[in-house]
Amino acid sequence: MISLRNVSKTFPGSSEPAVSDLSLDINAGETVVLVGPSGCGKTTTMKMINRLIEPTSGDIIVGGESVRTKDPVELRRGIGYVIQSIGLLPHRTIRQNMTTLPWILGWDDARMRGRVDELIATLDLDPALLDRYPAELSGGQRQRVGVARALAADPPVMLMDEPFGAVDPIVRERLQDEFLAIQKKLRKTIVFVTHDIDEALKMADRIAILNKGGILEQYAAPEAILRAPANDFVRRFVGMDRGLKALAIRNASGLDEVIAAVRGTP
Amino acid sequence: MEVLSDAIAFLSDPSNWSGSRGIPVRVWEHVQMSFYATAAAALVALPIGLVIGHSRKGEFLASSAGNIGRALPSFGVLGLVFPFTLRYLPGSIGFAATLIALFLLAIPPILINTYVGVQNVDADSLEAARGMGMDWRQMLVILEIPLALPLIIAGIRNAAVAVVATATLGAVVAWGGLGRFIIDGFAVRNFGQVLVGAVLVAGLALATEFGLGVLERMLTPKGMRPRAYIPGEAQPTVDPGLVT
Amino acid sequence: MNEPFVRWDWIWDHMDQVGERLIEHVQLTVIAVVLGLLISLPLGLIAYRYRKSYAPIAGVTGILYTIPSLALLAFLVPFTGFSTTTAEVALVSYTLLILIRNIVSGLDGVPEDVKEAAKGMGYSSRQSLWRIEIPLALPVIAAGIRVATVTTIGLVTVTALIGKGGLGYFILLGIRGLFPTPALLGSVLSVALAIAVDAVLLGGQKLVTPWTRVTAARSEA
Repeated sequence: MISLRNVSKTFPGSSEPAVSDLSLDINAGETVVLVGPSGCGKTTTMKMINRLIEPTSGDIIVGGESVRTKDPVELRRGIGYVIQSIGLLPHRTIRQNMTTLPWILGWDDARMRGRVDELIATLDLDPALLDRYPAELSGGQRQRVGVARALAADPPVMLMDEPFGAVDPIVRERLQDEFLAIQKKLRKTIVFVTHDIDEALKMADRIAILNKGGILEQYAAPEAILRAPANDFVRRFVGMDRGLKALAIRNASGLDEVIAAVRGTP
Repeated sequence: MEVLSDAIAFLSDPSNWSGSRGIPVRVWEHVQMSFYATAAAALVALPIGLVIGHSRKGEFLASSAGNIGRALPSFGVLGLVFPFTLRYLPGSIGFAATLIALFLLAIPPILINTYVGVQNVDADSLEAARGMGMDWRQMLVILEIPLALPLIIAGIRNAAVAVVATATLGAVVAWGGLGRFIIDGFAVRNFGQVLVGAVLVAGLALATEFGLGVLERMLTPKGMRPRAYIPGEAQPTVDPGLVT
Repeated sequence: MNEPFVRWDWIWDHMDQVGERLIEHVQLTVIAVVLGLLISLPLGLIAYRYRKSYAPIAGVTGILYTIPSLALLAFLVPFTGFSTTTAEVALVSYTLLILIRNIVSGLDGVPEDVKEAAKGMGYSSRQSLWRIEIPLALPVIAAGIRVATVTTIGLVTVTALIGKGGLGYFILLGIRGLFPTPALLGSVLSVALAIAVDAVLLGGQKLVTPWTRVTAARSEA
């Protein structure tokens, strides 16, 4: 569904590339998490998919078309985009915020109202919030609205940059669980950026562990990473020495493997 | 109080209410001049401010122009323009000089407030809007202008009040307006006349200030924190943090 | 008219007058700003401490500020005549709003945690005010002084109409006599003075507050 081919990005005025020669394939309906230490280029990579940042070289194919051939504005309308601070329009009600893109696309009122009803059901939002303003909502409610807004025009692809970062851990866990449930139903293609390896292990179908400069250290399913970390960097990043990671995995495939992971044996 | 009785005498004289030198005419002259100068300045300063605020380029130029503009003595600008209109536009010396001077004076507050207002729009909202697929026109109309509107109106308010006040000085360069009563009154030592002129123009300035202040509150989008209203220069043109 | 626009010989002949008027201009400005500060500091502190008093104080000074300068002078003349007193009362009135606003705004801007730390260390509220809050509010207050000074320089020119005026004297002379030279002289000099003082005070303001020169670096996630 999404293919990154030899993508590189060097920012003007910088001697080091932020991302160098990254190649990655993402299948339709899968959730891929980009994770790594600060400076590894994970957000830059994600933003190159919807051309908020232009690659210095290389190409990105989305849905069979190169992103370079499309008008960036058109491209972005077909991709859901969620950022950590959400960025709701402060002077519009929640309902208006959710239907921002449909309104731009020219949907009629009935269709928009129907869509809002679907979204609040899917995201378990209190209908009373629809006529309130962002400033009146809690952090957790705003995150949900942000996700709803990104889903409004039903894009096949979603980009999410630390979407649950701005809330406390308890709320974050709830949001993660809810999102996993939604994704089970909707099966969108999701590129998710986080710095939190635990979140990555929980949310991902596959995890791309990036090192500084956008170097891809390992790209595999969570269990595979825990069972067979590609190198020391991955091992350290995943926290093998702490040995508790295996317990967080949903699909642990057997007690022996779990014990092996906990003990930290390669 | 002698002045008061003189003033009342002036007001009771019907000849002061009719004709081309009467009170209504002077008030109307003053209002018209202020309106045209402010509107013309807005026409020029608003688009420039919007572009600078949106693109975040040219800010240094604008803030320097604004700073200098704010430092300009209004009487000084009038004194600067007058000799030129005297030589090149002899037909309407007072009118042209006053209009040009007021126009120049009105630009800085509108320019600064506009670009600061647009720049202050929450960067996260802008990023989300861009990521969602809005083009620059939509961002301007849906996001930047509505959110910047209170500040923009405040800038127009500052400009308008300064214009109404400085238009008083137009009387010094042989124009009309409400300053005429003050200047003429000084000349013939009729302080009743002076008082009438002063009260009228002060009232006009205050009315402009409060009227546009009300407009500013009305145009503050719902869901935004209401700003405490204080007459006089609105925040950004005085707030040093924004003026480099 | 084949007369040259600017008669430099006239300027040359009247240099001593230019000097006198310049001094008058500076004097009027300095007295106004100093008096303005003397009045605004206590008022500003009161407005900061007793928040309810802020609205009326700001309201009154705001109204004073909005009244056109010529009108304010006109209100005063019947009482204090065509004198320096009249000029100064008007000039001081115009500085009040700006100074008080900036004093309050500056003090408001002092971070809560700094004040709390001071309290925790055992500062009394008076000590905290004078040793911590006012110094930290200084940048904003300094900016207010700068704006007030520059505004006053401009308004001094208007006092020419009641017989003072500093450099405004020449502007009036030129206008009344339909004689460009002094009008241009007075206006160029007063504009230059305002811009120069603004630049100097801005430099001084930045010297006093080196920490405001640092701009936050943008972070890359």
